[in-house]
Amino acid sequence: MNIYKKIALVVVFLFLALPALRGEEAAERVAVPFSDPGKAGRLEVSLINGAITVIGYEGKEVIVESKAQAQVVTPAAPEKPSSKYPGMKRLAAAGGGLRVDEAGNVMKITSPPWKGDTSLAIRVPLNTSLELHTVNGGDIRVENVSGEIDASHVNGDIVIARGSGAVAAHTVNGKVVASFSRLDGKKPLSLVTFNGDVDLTLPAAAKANLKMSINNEGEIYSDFELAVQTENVRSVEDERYRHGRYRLNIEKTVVAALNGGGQEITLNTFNGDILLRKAK
Amino acid sequence: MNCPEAKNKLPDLLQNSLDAAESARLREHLQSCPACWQEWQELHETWSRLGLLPEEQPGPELRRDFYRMLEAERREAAAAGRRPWRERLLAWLPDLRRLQPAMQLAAAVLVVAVGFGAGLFIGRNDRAAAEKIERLSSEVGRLQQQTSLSLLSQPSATARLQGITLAAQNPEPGIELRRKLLMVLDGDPSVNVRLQAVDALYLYAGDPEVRAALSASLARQTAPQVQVALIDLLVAFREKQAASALKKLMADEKILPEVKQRARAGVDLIL
Repeated sequence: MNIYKKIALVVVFLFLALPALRGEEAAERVAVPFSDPGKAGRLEVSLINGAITVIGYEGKEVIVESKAQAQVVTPAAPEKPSSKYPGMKRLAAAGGGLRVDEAGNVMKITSPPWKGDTSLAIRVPLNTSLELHTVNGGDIRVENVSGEIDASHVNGDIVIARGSGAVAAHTVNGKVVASFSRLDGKKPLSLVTFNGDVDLTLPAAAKANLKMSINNEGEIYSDFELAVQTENVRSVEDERYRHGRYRLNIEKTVVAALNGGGQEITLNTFNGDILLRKAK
Repeated sequence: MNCPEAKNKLPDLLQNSLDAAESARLREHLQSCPACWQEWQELHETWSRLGLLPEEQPGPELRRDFYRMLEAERREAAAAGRRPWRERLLAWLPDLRRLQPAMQLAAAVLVVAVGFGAGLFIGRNDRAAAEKIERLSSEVGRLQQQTSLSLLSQPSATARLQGITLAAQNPEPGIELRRKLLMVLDGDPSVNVRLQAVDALYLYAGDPEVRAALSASLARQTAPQVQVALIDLLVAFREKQAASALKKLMADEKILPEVKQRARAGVDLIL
């Protein structure tokens, strides 16, 4: 807790109101160190509109690159007359961009609910823990980060490659794809989507306890020989006697141990398949 | 500080959970009282040796058993509405002990060991010892609950997932844990964690308060995955009170059609 008491505060404002270069992408780049670079930091990113790409690298600073797109109000791109309040002109308030706060080794990047695309490409020290949220405007991608990953999306995919396997990822409309060349086995791995496939690649020797749930039309495909313990929970709704229909619900939940069991893995989709692949 | 008071506080000193003033008072007492000093030495030695034990890992059969049990519980809940589940859990108890994270296990073993010794020494008859063990075994459940609660308060979602896994395996889930699980279901920022909480709450099939809270929670859920899981849970419980909550969901225009369909099927099954 001491870390939090010694608050080393770094606040950086990234203003995206760049000189008008209409149609062209202008990139803003900023590097922010964690207050205690000797320890694993935590990065929290919360966007409404924009893809998030995070890549681990052999360095100490967090490097944020953002692509500001045409939606930014600039003097050269005069605002259309407000239709909401005819006759009045809207003022472009300063601070339409991104905000980066760092305190106690926790870095927060937030974006106001801005019209424009605030997609970010971020490089972080390898052991950084991540908490990433976005709603629209592209995918969440994480590569080569060994810290814990908590990613949530609404309209887009989540793709995670190389890491420790301590992941909680969730989207509503999109795939969740994850592949690991090793599992550290300590923290759980949970991949959840509503409309989309869950696609997980594990090393051949991975030790895991799997719980996989699908609904509706989905199927489960696996490269691994699984010792399956429960399968196909069926419930029958026979309502013909009261002029209803007959329906067989098959909710498939498969619980299986991989190589004798180990890391807790939950895979869950409503409309979609589950693919369990063996790393080649 | 007197001797019984000091002895009570020794485990806290081991875990470094005393505040500075109390710790100072206890140390002062230890300096002046050979009996307590002796006990402290023994405790400390046991504690350090426990640290050398290899870390216990839950075997795959444990998880298999858990999900078998959960499945059976779901079916039974669906078939009979409610049934006592506590006996099952208690029958399952010996296996559960192996699940603690190392330190938790160490603390539990230490408490049991010290208590066992103390029980034999003080009680000198089986009954007193048995009572002592009974009390200490509930202590194990309590410690396990503490671990779950502390994991569930972590900023990391994967740590909270771990907390729920542990909570689902608690032989004697206390009121605090139940309350925390319901709080997690209602307010945890991670959908993955909320979904896992629904799974753990299957174990409270017989608890009317939980069933009522689950119905109320349905209206607060925004993620379709959690909505579906919660509908399935209420249907498995045959919770009649949930019908109005399900109907409200069916009338809500923000709800996805698949979820509404699930709710509709659920209402028919419940009533």
